[in-house]
Amino acid sequence: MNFYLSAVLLGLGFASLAMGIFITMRIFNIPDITTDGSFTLGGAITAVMVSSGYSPGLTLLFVFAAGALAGICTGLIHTKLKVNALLAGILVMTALYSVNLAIMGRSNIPLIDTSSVFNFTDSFMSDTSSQLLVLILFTSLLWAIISCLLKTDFGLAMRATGNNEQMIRSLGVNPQTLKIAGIGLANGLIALSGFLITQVQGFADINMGIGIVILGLGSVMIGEILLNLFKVRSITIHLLGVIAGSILFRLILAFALTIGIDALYLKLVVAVFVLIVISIPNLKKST
Amino acid sequence: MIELKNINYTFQKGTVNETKALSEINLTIKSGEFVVLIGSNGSGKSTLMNSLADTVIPDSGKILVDGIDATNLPEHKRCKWIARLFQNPLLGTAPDLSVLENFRLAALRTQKKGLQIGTGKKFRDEVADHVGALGLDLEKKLDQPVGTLSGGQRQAMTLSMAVMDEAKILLMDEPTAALDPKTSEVFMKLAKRVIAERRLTCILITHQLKDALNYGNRLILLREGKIIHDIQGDKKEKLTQNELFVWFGE
Repeated sequence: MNFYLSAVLLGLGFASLAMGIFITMRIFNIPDITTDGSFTLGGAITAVMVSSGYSPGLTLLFVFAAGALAGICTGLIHTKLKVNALLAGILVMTALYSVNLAIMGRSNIPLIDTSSVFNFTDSFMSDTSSQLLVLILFTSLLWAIISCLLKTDFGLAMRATGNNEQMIRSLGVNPQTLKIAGIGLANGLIALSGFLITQVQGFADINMGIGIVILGLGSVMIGEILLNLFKVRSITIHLLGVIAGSILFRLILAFALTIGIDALYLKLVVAVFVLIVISIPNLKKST
Repeated sequence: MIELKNINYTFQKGTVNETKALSEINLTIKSGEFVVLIGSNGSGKSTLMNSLADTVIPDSGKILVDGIDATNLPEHKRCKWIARLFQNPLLGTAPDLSVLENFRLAALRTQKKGLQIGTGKKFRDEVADHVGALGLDLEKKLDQPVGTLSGGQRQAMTLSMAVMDEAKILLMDEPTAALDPKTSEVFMKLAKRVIAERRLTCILITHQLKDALNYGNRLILLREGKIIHDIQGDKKEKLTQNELFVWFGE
């Protein structure tokens, strides 16, 4: 049972990653590979700052800003230098590998006896339940903020950009600015996910971000399969579906491990699973 | 007032496929004029309209809108004055956003899109009134994604959105090309009413000679990038379909 509980914890930790991917993938139609780098960036900054005694709150601000900056770089390369979005993401991700290594100074930083976001309930709660509580609160807060943001005039313009760029230009908005802001916001959220996961698992690793974009994508897709069952269209519910998708995805992976799949093959399992999830809607169409 | 001065534009300049789309166009359109632009395919109608909306930047010449030089203004700055309707009814609206949300963006056409939530009760009522006038029952579908509406409804919605804010110029490039005859007629009548009510300056490109005769107070025929005929007022009123056929056959 504890095994599934830690899957839920990871699922909540990865929820902000999934929301970030939702923004780039669903709102802007951009497959943003920066994710792999900005997630690790969040983890690296968290490990270094927390183990040097900075408060988790301050760390959080730095992590979000750094992630957003990475996203803004991708956005600038894509819009101003007219580089294909996928390639722009790969470039920034590659560069971030060195940046992350420079931040960390070595390839792995364990967090032992350091303060974390989960500490404040220590006195009256067990470790896991305090983690669960903090993660639920944190994710709910992000959910509320992002769904409000996407309903503001700015958010509407952002959503319309991915939908119909021609329209948004004739409505007097420069779509480039919105894309840069959107990719920045998404990567800020993704870095926050790195911040949470580093603290949940108790270490940061230079390779923690490899293939993470697929995880986010899978979560978004699972969320949408759930939503299609209920036929909901509101953006608030859509985001909630994405969060649920992230948790469900982790539970499915935990299940795969319990039925005896070697952890070595975990990434292979993830890739195959995401492939199945992506192709379900298309298979349905063709029959 | 829109003034086009010595506008020239060539597609694929310097290649074997060089095509002169606009040549020495001089045109003044007064405020409130409703100009119908006709001509065969490739005569330069759309290029002329696009040069006003900035998707085409002329090789030479000047475009003045109310005396302001707009030749090199980017599209998203020009929209202050100019609203557009496209041939494809899907281009004017965002399909995943609701009717209400589309109208919200349209209402902010010339304003900043900030961090406030503007789709509250007051705005909802305003939009319900506004779309009620279209007679399409859209006021009952405010929360529906626009992608679920028909092409005709979306085109009418685009028109209605275009005039939410203070646009002075309305550019319509074959707005009814994708609509069935009945929906087209409903749409054109609606457009005529809205243009008159808001005293808009309007340019309409059409291949429907009937529409060219029935609507607008000025008619311009383009051929190979040049203005061949330009008639207005009484002369336009008296024009017959046969005369138009002759024009095309010249």
